Amino acid sequence: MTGGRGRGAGPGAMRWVSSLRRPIARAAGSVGSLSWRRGAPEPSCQDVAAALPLILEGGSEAASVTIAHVQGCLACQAELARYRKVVRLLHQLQATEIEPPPGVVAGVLSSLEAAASRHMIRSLLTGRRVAYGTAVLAAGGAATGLVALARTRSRVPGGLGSGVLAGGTVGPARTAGQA
Amino acid sequence: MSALRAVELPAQAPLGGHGSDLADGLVARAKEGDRDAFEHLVLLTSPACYALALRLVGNEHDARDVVQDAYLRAFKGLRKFRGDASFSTWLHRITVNCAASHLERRARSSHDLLDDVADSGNLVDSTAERDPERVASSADDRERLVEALAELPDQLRMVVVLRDVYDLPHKEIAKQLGISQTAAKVRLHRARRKLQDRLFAGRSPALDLTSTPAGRVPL
Repeated sequence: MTGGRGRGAGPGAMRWVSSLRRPIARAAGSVGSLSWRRGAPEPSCQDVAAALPLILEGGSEAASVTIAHVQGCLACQAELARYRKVVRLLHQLQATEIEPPPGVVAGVLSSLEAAASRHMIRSLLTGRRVAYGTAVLAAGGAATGLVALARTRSRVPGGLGSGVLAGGTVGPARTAGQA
Repeated sequence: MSALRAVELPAQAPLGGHGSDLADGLVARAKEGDRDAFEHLVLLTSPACYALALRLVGNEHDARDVVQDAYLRAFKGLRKFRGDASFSTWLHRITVNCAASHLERRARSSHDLLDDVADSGNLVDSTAERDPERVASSADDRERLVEALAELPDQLRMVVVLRDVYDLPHKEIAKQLGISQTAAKVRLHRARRKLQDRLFAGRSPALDLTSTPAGRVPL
């Protein structure tokens, strides 16, 4: 894939090439859309290497120049085969079983337990805070109410204190009139 | 809780492969505050969750942390889980997020080490002698692929695992990792090429293409 090209490897090679043709043909259009236009120079092996993901993932139509290059270049065919093999092996990994080492689940469960305990304590504290807050508010409200009540009573005629003033036993105005 | 720990469950199941009725029932109970139900969910999904975490972060120690973090987040956020997707899918996303966060923290704490790996541009162990018979073995290929995956730079590993192992579309990968789709595609290609270099390093071309007729790939 570093630029070398090997053509004419025999009929067997052509059969193998034909097995590659389908994905290349599907994708070569998008490969072509990246770098090549009709009449442009043939792509190099490096150009094809950069386009390998597109070749694998498929495109809309074939760019004959790319197909021709890969079909005629055993280095690119080999590169494509290796690339595909890597992707295939990666796909196979999903089916590979991985046993969690001992202690993973236990660690998760104990951390959950700790988190739940913290949550419970926090809820408890939050509840207490709410209770304290409510109590303070209630006390404040009661005090305010008492003060308001006292003031209201002090303004009512005949109420506490008003009778003394009305009776004229004290007060500078009354004293002045008598004089 | 202790009784639940003794429940025998399949050793390995894909994140999305559980009986949905069972999982749905457990999720519903867990959302109502039933901790036993949530622990049952943990037992049911932890093998797949661990496998995902291990593949994303590349080592057992970090994978443990990621799994723990993922379940804690799931536990705390369960009430917000609306059930639009399955619990497994939801947990998958959480695990990916946790792995990404974990890798970011790891990168910050060991920046020099990460740079060494990322800048080397060459994951090939040129000193390793490779036995051709072992090289030909597919199981060995997978083993070496796993090793190569673990050595990939974090950003590349996450993309290639999500795309090629878990088959997520580029759009979803971009969304989960907070990158553009173009960036996801570029990283994917770079990751595959690095893996390819590693996997086929020092190998005779004829062995790479065992399905082709002998001697027809004269590289």
